[in-house]
Amino acid sequence: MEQKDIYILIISASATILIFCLSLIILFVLFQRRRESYLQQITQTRIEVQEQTLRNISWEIHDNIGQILSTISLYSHTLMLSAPQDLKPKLKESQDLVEKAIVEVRALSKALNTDYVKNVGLLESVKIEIERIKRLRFMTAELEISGQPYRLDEESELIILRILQEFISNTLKHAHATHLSVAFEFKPKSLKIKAQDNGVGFEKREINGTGLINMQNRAKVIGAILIFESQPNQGTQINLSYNRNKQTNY
Amino acid sequence: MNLLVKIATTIEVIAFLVSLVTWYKYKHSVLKYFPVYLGLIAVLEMYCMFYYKTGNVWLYNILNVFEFNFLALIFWNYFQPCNRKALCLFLIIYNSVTIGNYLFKVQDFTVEPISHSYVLSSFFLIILILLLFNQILRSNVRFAEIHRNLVFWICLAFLIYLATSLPMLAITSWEDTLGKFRFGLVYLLGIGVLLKNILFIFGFLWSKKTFIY
Repeated sequence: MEQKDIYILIISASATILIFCLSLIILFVLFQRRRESYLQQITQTRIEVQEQTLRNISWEIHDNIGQILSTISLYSHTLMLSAPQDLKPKLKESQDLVEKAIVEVRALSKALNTDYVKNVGLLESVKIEIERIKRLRFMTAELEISGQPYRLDEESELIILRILQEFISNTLKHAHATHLSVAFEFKPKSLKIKAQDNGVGFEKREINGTGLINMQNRAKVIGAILIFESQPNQGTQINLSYNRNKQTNY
Repeated sequence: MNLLVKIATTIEVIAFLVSLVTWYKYKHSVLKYFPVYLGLIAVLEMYCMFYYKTGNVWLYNILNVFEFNFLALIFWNYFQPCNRKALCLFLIIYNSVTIGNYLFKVQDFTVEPISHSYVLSSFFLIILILLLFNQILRSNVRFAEIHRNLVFWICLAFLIYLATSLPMLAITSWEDTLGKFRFGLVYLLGIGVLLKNILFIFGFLWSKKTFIY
């Protein structure tokens, strides 16, 4: 074979392999983007369905259970007037418990109600959650705020709140923690939220529970970055970083 | 041509320096050892360009053995068990061929490029990169995370370089085989090295610490 022919052969072979590899990369990127878009749509639909269900539950709690408890409270007040003296302390105790139940039910209804959350905003909703935890007396809870607070778009606020609620729920259910803290850092271009407990923690490779994956997926929908940090017996921490200028997929 | 070689060497040194500056981004992953590889190449290229201009082919032969085993080690850490089997097989074949080549003197290690090993390493590395991309595709990683991921850029850089250079590396003696046409290939190889290192530099600068595959 002539030297020129070998030269052309080598160049052609290089070009062919290069084109083949680049085509694979392009296909890889296109496929990944399409797959991502499908996954995004599925997550969005799931969130919408979930929010609708929560809204319905919230209405049911408020309109049915709330009304029943109010009626019980009203009856107990009437009963108090004609009750024998020795029953009055017990009746008063029951009244207090019913009042407490009404407060709890209202708080729960508010926390679940999408419209309420959208009206009062993320920060107020988190404050309500923290107050609820304090009332439960399972653990101490604190909320720290730094920077000048501002509102985000309604959907992002709702999703961030649901992530925090999931974290709080996990802490209550699994962490055996005695303290929970949530810190908001309002920066001009981004919002950083750190939530941590002092519970039993877990190995980082165990991030495969539905709750944790849901939190990750929710964060992805609004383009936020969610990082879990946990070690056995050293508590759990989530760091959520939300860029205000980011285009969301919601 | 001399200018292109100088530019390519300079960009290799720059890539090494950038990898050191941005080391904090990937020090928590297995890529923390990657600057060792870049540093070794930069030092070797500089040494061969200024001091050891002729008869240095044995150094590049050793570098090739180190390069393949080093990159295989990095891939090992990223691969799932099913891909690790393929990686093991590639490692055994490559090292057997290289050692066999040395023992039976098929090609003289000290005076000529061991083209069998070069071609095998390039071919295996291309397959390993494609396997890694396939693995990423099947995982839950978003595109936004992939293009901010250093591994993606390193793999892309290697893929372009290896795809360009694979047929050239099959030739042991460029002067005898190609005569004056060899200069064209040197240009092409130089451009491949340039592209590879530009992509490395871009990857180091563009990648984010939080996105780890």
